[in-house]
Amino acid sequence: MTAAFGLPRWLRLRPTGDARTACARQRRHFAGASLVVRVYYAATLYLVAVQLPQWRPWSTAPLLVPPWPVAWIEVVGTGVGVNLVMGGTLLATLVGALAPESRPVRLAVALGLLELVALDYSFGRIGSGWTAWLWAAFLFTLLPDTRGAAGRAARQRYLSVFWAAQVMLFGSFALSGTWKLVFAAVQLGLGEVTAFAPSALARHVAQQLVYSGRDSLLGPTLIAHPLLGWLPFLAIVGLQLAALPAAFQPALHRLWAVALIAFHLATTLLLAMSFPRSILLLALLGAGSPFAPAAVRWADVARALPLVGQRPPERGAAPRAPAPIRRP
Amino acid sequence: MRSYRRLQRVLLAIFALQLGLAAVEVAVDRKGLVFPATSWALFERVPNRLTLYALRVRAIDGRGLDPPPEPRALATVLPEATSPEARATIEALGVALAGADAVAVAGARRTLEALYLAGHRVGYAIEERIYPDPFVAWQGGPPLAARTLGVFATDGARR
Repeated sequence: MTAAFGLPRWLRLRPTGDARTACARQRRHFAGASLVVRVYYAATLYLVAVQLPQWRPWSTAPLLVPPWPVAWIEVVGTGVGVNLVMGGTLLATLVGALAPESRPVRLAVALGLLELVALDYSFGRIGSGWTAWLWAAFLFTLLPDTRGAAGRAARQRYLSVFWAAQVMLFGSFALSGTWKLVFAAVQLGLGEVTAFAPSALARHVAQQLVYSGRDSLLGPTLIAHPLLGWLPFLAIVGLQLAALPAAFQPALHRLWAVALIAFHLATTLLLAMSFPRSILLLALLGAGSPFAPAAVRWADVARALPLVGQRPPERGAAPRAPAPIRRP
Repeated sequence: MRSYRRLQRVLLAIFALQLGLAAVEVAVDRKGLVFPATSWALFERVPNRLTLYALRVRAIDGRGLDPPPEPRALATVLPEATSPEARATIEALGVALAGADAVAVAGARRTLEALYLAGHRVGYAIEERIYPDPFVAWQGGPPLAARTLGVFATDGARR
């Protein structure tokens, strides 16, 4: 309960330094965020380029099961529709890599990606591998246009939207962790093996390998020795649950992103599934977070840890208003 | 500062809203993902009993296969039918057959046969197997129960 009541205080922004320091920090964060956004659009071009070998097989597919964004392809025909989607998305992402500071260009990239991803999911299975990347593209359309010099207010808006994308990314992991807890409670009620059982991770691995018909590097070992996966799985659930609070703590951005990337790598070795876009997005928005301290200081990390690392309340001290920032 | 706190509250509200919507989605229809929204419910339920829907190829291009290859050996006769998309389609067909949903059966059959069995004359069955746990399934042990849900054949035409 104490931890729950302490959450608002833990989430509170603690401004430090005077107006000049705050302005300099904002400029530094803005420069970092702009660079990450630029890299995001270059990486989007790369991800679309990786899809190009699918152009021909998709355009000659005898049947599509199109989600709503590409339902119109059934009207114009698969060949024409696929050519329009692939050509349009490629063009939009080329321009996006060239001029990501333009909002209309970012909107074109987001719409192109929506079409491409919907097309990719038109063959009997809607996956989630593209989802966070796609949502980031739509969130980035809310970034202010920065073709001219960005003023203080524009920089602040830019950083707010950028941070919202970070919250979206970390929040997706928190949702995944939350569901594991919800279903653990449900399965406990049903008398089933739950996420807290020593064999939970090994059961997931065995099921996935059966479903996929593949073999993985570490999966068979874990299935033979399920106890090996007990603590790692509990750690994964904790890591996912704490991902949302971590988005509110710049000192944790880099550490959490790298830990979640490590989780994806371990999952790849266990399940023979890969998560390239998720890893890339974590690397960009998390490991490359402009809000994170330049160097990881473990004392700051320990203080920022969810629940266990709350700073002591500033007893007797009146809340300090942030120093006003004057327009230059 | 005030706007930051407002943004925090808005984002937390959006997160709570998505959690609520996702709860509805999971409760009502686990597979009904509304693209591009997703509940992010991944590996959320620890497998206890495992129900597996398998494509059992009984004949291909006039050549009988007796016994039909096990699902893990499917790639030796029909590699196109082993992609994640094909497996998802096979599972959708199995669920539709088990639920006697004729419309869903027709849709899943059309997808499976047009995308993943095309170019061959295939006689196949969809089999439901229930294992006591995923370990038994992975080791190739005997299922608790197994039944054939439907037997079909394709004419080999590319549509």
